[in-house]
Amino acid sequence: MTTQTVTRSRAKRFLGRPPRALLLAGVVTAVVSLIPLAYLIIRVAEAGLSRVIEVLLRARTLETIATSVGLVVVVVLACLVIGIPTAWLVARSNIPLRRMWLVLVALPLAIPSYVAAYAWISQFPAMSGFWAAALLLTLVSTPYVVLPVTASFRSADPALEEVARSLGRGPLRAFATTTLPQSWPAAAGGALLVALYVLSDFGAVALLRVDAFTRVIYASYRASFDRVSAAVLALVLVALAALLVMAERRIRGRTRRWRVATGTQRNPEPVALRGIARVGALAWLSVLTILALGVPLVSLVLRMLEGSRTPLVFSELIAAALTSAGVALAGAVLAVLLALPVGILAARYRTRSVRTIETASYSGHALPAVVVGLSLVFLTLAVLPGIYQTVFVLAFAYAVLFLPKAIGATRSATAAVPPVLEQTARTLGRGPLRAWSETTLRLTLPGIAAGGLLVLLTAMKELPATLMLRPTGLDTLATELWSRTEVAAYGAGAPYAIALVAIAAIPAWLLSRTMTRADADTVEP
Amino acid sequence: MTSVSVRDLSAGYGPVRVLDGLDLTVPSGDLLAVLGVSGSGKTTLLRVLAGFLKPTGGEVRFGDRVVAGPGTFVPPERRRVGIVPQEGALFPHLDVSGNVGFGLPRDSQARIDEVLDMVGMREFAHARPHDLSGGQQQRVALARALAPEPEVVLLDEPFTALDATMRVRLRAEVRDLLKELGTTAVLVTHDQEEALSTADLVAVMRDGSLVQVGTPEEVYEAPIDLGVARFVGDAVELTAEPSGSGRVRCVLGEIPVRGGLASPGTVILRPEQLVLSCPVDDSAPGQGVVRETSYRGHDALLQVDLDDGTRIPVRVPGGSPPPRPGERVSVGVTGEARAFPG
Repeated sequence: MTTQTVTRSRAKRFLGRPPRALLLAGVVTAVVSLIPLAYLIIRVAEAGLSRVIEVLLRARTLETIATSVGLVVVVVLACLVIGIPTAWLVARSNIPLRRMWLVLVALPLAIPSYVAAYAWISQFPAMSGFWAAALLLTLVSTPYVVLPVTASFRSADPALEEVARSLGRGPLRAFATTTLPQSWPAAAGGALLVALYVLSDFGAVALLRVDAFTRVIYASYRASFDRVSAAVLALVLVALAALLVMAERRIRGRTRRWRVATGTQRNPEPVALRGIARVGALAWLSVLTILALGVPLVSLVLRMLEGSRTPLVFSELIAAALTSAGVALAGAVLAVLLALPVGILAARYRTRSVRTIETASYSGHALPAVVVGLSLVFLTLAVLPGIYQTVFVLAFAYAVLFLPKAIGATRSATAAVPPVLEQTARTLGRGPLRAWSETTLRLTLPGIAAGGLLVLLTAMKELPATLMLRPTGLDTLATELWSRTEVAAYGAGAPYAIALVAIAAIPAWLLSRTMTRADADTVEP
Repeated sequence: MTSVSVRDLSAGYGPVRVLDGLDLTVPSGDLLAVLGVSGSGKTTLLRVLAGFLKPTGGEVRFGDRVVAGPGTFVPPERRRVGIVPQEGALFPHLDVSGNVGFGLPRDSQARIDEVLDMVGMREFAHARPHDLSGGQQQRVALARALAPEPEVVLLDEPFTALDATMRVRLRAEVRDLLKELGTTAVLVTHDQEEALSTADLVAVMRDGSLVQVGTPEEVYEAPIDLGVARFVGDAVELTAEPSGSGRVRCVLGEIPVRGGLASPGTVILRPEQLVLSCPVDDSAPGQGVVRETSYRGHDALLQVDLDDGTRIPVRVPGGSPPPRPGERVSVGVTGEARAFPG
C-alpha cells in the first residue's frame, strides 16, 4: 500500500474537530472510568510516603510480588512453548481434521479460570499451590497464543517463503527465516495477554491457595484491618498490568505496519507430515485437548451425576441466573451509554484530546477486577455509605471493567459507516443529532447492541468484584459456585459451573474470531 | 547464460488442469513476455518454472540441465532462479540490505552495495520495506533477485501495482538492466503495451496453451488469429471479399492485405493505419460523417459513421484542430491489412 492511498482513505474516514457536546460526553466517560483508579491513588497518597515504603518493603509484599511475577513468567513461557508448535500444526500442516482441531484448541477460552479450578479440585482434591495454578492457568490461557499465531501463520504471504526458496533456503529454513520472525509480534501480543490474564486472575489462585496479588488483596480486604497495605498492593498490581497493556499496544501497532503488500493472497500449501511425525502431531494435540477440555468437562459431568443424588434446588439455580443477568444487564446498559460518545469520537476524529479520552476510558482493561472492587468498597464507605453494597455499585463496577468491550464494538461499528452518509443527511435538512440518529445510528445499532451483549455475558461470569461489592444475600452463578467450592460441596456446584461454561462460550467464540483475524483492531481478554 | 526450454508441459492444481502441452524456448539472454488475460495460466507457468509447482507432465530445462521432468524435480532453492513477485513481497522484518543479502552468503556487503547501486537504491540500504514507495519496493525486489546471480529471472506482473508514470519508467530501467547483465528473463503480464515495449519475444497465452510466440512486431502486425489481433492492440474489423492479387474489397475500398485472402472473411486494421482527408471527392470509397470527437491533446479519437452504417474509430494526430461532429470525411488506408478467412 502506498502512503498516498493511506492518506486518502484516512482523509475520507476521519473528520476535523469533534463537536463540543460530543467531546464533553467523552470527557464524562473518561472521568467516570478513572474513578476507581483515582480513588485508589488518593487512598495510598493519604497514607503517606513512609507508610507506603514500609508496606512495600515488607517481606510479605515482596513474597507476593515474587509469587505473582513468577507465576506470570512460568505460564507465559509454557504458553509460548506449547502454543507456537500447536499453531504451526493447525495452520500449516496437513494433519487430518484441521478445522476441528482449531476449534478444540480455542475452546478452553470458554472455561472461566475458577470453573477450571473447581473442576480439577473436585476431581483431585489434593491439588493446590504454585505449580497447580501454573498448570491450570497455562491450560486455560494457551489459546491467547495459539489463535493469533495461527492467524499470522495463515495470513503470511506465501510469496515470501517462495522467494526464500528461490534464494536457496530449504522448506523448513524458509519458514524459519520468513514466516516465523513475522509472527513474533502475534506471539508476543498473545504472551502479553496471557500475562495480563494471569496477573488479574483471582479464581484459580484463590481456589488453589497461591498467595498472588489478587488473593492477598482479597484476604486483607476480608480481614479489614490493613486497608493501606491492600491499597498499596492493588496499586502495584495496576502498575504491572498497565505496563503489560502498554507493551501489548505497541506490539499491535507494529503488527499492522508490517503488512507491506496488499492485493490478492493465496493460502500457503500445507506441509505434509508422514509416519511418526503425523502420529506425534496427533498425540500432541490429543493430550493438549484432554488436559484443557477433557478433564474439566468430564469432571463437571461426574459432579453433575453425583450431585443429582442430593436434590438439586432448581429454583436456586434459576434465581442465581436471573440475578446474574439482572445486575449484568444494568452494567451493560451503563457501559453502552458511557461507550457511545467515546466510540464515535475514536472512529471519526483523530485529535490529541480524543486519543486521551480513549486511553482513559480503556483503563478498565488494565484494572484487575479485585482492584476495582477494593477501590469501590473504600470509596462508597468513605464518601457514599448509603450505596455501600448496593446493586448500583456492582453494576457500576461491571460498566467500568468491561467498558473497553463496549467502546471497541461502538468504534468498529461506527468506523464501518462512511461519514458521507451523515453529511448527506445534513445537506438534506437534518440537524446534527437527527442526521446521526437517522443514518449512522440506524446502521451501527446491531454492532453496538452486540457490544452490549458481550458486556452482559462477560459480567455474568465475573467473580471477584461481585464477591466484594454484592449486597448481602445477593447470589450470582459465580458466587454460588464459589461458596460451594469453598465448602467442598462439589456436587452441588456442578449445575452452576455448567451454566457458567455455557454463558462464557459466546464471548469466547467472539474472542476467538477476533484473534484469528490477522488485522484485528482491538483484542481484549 | 542459460536458455529456458519447455517441452509438452502440463500442470494444474488437484484435478484442475491449467497448462496443457506447452512448448516454448527462450534463447539465452532474451527477455520473454508471457501475455494473457487472468486465468490464462501465465502465472501457473511461472510457478512451474520457479519450482513452486510440480508439473504433471513434460519437461523444463535451464540450458542443458533438466530441472523438471519424468523422475526429476529440482526444488526451488537449487534452481538458481530469481523471482520478482507481484508487489515485491519484500521481507517486512528485514531492512533493504537484509532483503538483498538474503540469498547471499554472510559477509557479502560488497555485493549488496553493488546490486543496490545497480537499481539506484544504495542510499536506502537501511530503510524498512514499509517506508518505501511501490516503485522503490520493486527495485529492491529486483536487486534481491539479481544478487545471487541467478541463471533465470522470473518477473510476475511486477509493475501492475504502480502508477502509470512509474510503470513506464521502471520497466524501461528493468529491461536495460537485464540486457546489460545478459540474464535470461521471463515476464508475466496482462498488459499488452508492457509486453510489446519490454520484451524480445512475446508469447500469447490463452486457456492454458500458447497461441502465438514471436517478436513484438510479429505479434502486433501479423497476429495469428482474430483473438490475438484484438488482444495485442486496438483493432478495426471490417468484412472483406478477395479481389485478386493480394488485395481485398471492403467499405474502405480496395486495400492490400498481407498474404492475401482466398474466400470472404474479416480484415483488421490498426487505428493508426487509417488516414482522414477532409475535402471529399464524391466517388471515393470510405466516406462518412464524424459522430464523435474525443480530444486527447497529443491526438484525437474520432468515431466515423461510414455511409454503409459501419462505425469505425480513427486516430488523428494533434497539432491541428480535429474535424468536428457532423463533418463529412473520407477515410483512407496506409500499409497492409491482415486478413482472416471465414
